[in-house]
Amino acid sequence: MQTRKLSRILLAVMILLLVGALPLMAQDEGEVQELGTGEIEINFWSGLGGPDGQSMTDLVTRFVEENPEVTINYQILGWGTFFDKLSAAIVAGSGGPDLMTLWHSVVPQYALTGHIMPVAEQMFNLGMLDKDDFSPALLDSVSFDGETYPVPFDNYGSGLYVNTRLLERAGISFDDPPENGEEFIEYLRRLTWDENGNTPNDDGFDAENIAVWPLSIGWNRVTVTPALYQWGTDVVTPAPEAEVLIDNEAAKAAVQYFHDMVFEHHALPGVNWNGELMLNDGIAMYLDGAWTYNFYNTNMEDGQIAFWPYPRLGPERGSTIMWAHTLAVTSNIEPDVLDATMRLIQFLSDNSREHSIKTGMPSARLSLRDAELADLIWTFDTLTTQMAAEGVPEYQSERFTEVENIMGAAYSSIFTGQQTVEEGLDDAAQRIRRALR
Amino acid sequence: MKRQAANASWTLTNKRREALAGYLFLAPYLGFFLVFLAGPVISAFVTAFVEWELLRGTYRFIGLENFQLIMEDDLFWIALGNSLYFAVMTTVGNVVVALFAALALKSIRLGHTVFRVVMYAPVVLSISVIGIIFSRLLAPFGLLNAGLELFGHNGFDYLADPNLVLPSLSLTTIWWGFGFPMLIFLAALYAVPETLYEAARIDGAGRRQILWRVTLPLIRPALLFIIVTQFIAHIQVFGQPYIMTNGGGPGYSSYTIVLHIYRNAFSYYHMGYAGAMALTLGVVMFIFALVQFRLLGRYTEY
Amino acid sequence: MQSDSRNILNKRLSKLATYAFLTILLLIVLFPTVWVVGQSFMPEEQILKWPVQIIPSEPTLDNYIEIFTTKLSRQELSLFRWLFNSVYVTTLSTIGVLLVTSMAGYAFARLRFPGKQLLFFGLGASFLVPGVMLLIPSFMLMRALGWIDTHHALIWPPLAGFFGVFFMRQFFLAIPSELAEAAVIDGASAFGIYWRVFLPLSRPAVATLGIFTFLFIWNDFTWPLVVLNSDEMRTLPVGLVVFLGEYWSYQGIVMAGAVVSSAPVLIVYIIFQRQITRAVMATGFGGR
Repeated sequence: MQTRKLSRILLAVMILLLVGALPLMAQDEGEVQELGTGEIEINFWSGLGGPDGQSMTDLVTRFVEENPEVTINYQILGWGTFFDKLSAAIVAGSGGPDLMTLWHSVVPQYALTGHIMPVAEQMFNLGMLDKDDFSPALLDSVSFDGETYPVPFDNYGSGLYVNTRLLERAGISFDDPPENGEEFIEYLRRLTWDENGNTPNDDGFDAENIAVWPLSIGWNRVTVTPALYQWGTDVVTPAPEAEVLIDNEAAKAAVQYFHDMVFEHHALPGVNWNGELMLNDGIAMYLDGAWTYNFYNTNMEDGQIAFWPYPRLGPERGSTIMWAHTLAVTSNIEPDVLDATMRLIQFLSDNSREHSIKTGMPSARLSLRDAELADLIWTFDTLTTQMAAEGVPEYQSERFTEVENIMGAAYSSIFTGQQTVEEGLDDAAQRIRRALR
Repeated sequence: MKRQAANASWTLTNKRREALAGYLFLAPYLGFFLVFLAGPVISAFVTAFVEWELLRGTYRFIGLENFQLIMEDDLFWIALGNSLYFAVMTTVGNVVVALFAALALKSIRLGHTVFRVVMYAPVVLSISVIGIIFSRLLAPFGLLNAGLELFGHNGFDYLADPNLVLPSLSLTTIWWGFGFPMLIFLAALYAVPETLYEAARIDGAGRRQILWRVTLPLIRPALLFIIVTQFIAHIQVFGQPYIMTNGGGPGYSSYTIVLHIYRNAFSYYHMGYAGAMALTLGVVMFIFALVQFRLLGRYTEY
Repeated sequence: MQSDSRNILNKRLSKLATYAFLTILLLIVLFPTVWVVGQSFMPEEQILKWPVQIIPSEPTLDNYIEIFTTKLSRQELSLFRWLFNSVYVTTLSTIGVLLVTSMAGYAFARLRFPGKQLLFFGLGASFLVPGVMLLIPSFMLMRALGWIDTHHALIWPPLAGFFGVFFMRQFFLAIPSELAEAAVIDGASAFGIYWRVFLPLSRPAVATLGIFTFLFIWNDFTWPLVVLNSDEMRTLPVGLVVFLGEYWSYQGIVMAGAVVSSAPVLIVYIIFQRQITRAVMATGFGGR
């Protein structure tokens, strides 16, 4: 008797959940997934999520308002899963995007295997975009066999966010950024305080109880890679040679510099993102990409955070790493969808100045980087000046995801003290060679 | 005579009809079984011997080459080591906690249901919920360190410390799953006749002696079952590091074998190579299970 | 006399120790849960505060409102959609499993046909195949069927699981044969006997199997992660994790998501805890 009652309850619960969720689902679909009501549907996957994504979302919304014949199925995916999901859709042969955002670094992975088309080339030929309005080097990095594949949307670098209150406390002027590796270390020492307010330069400094850390190195890919350039090397050279450089002496010296920073100079080991801590005066400096601008801009008190160029640390030259978000189109797109998609790309590109203002990531269109932006974005001047003078695009690879995973783990092993720089980079190089074979 | 013959043919047709009914009843299940279980099992063996790059669209038979690549793949061995370490730690932890919990549960009456129900409850939660709870709990500014601060300790960065990360994942898993072996042990304990305990007590055996000499030997089948199934389940650990340590970090210190297989198959689409690794792991697990049966089973025959 | 009272004292002490041990264990299990629920009712600023708070000083429903009223900028929070997907997939698959495995279990328990033993052990051997070995070939099968990123990929494969067959067979075997014989005399067909006699009698078993299948499919993580790509197809567990990865800093919302996603299984568990406990203890199924 009781079991009968129980199984009825079970059934009732299931039916209730099912029925209860139905209308809500219908509502959900209309509101969230689809923008617009037009006949032509564009599936758009964007990796620009969170606060960064707002400007892209706004642009997409505006496009469908102006183009009522188009519906955009707009999906924001995190970068952590973006390429897994993209590859999965390609492998499944359906359910993938028509239009997608790709880092320029990962473009070969999809261009050389024929999964994306040379849409930029087509748009240049149709006169929808002006080829001369993009940096030639940037276009070159996404061109294969003489054809440009995706359209670069923005072009951004990395730099050093500094907490001005703590600079003041250390008696360092903002107009006096570090000029070389030794000076940077000296700054780190002056910007570290233990709980009694002593710095490593004082007697009685208590290294076990640090109250203010001098530097957070959030994402090693962003933080360490420019140093590789400064020591005159990189992770790998471009295909087809794809020579692995990460285990040469220069690379080891560059990574050693960061290793010492972590283990001798109390830079915070880079595991979690510490943006909050920097606002609360727990961290003095933060080496990160242009995108972090948005977070500080929204959360800081006036002028609390300022921006220095990526410091000159290595012997060879100064440099910062550069990326671009590009807009790529799948190879098996329907002709009428392609037409609408190209118009969408044109619209996004033409309006990428707005994206710059909101996110701090400069547009890939040179004509949309006017002097006025320097007044609107406090990172803009420093960032674009350094990018123009000494920016190096991140390495690219046909097996980018795999190489990047290997590098991420190698840095993590080294900076958590599991492996020496030598071991870590030797292992990584061997794994990358295997992957590229 | 005639009647007998008729009877025989009647039973024959009846038998046939029953057999037909049997096959018809089985047919739907058998269909699903063939498609979704038998087929994949066969193709698991085939896949291990081909080079199959889904993103590039290559497929060719390469014999044992995948296994040769496994031998040279240091990450495979690192990951296998991590998984073994995790599986041993978690199995032992689970068995110990569950056994004591079951012993305690068996000896009480008041509140028995409440304790039992609450302690099994985490088992019904999904790994993503567990992962979310514990990645926050074990964060540098999480609940556990807040607790330690009460005792004036600075705490640890559990999931970022290479030496702490696997034990932390193991503890998480024990919290999640000890309720299951607890119930199995409880069932086994109830099956032990009370008279045996009384006899032991009359013989003057202490509590520890009763545990070692009476209880444990008598629940040995349950113990064996739990150890083997737990080991097999935990060596395939995936969700915990996938969710909590960003896929195996820091470095490769929580990188497990199933993560390695997952990455090769579903991030890089080296299907053949990943298939070969899965098959290798299957064989390794089978051998371990056999060894456990031999080692533990031997004592059961007394 | 003295030894007697000492004995009683000893017994009391040991009882006390037992309760103390169980209480500690209970608190270890409950404390994180309470904390999560607490966080889900906290405004974001409060969660990020150090030291950690357990009970929200200014409780708010904001996180729950946020999670159910999706905004464009946070599309991954289509929680209702994920909830629906989970319910949909789980319900259909569970019904399928119950039908198909109970029929097969009935055949094995009650009908005689050539090759029965062999088939039973042949099918039973599938227990020995570890899940990880099936992951890749199953994915390839789904790809061949065109089922990647569809709910078919989640609904149908569980129907091949042998546990249900085994479980139902054991139950059917225990039903007295007189009942079946009576039905045969009444002229019922084989299906009639199964449908009108055995199935109604085995309601407890069906319910138990249903609960386990429900929990198993609802909570599954790896398989949906592998076969589903798009936001709108995801089930709750996978959706939550993708969401967590992207919005690590919106902790209160993530916690609210965890609470919402756990509530259905916990409700089912609490309603059916007696049956679940009994089934686990009898069959050894349902663990991790």
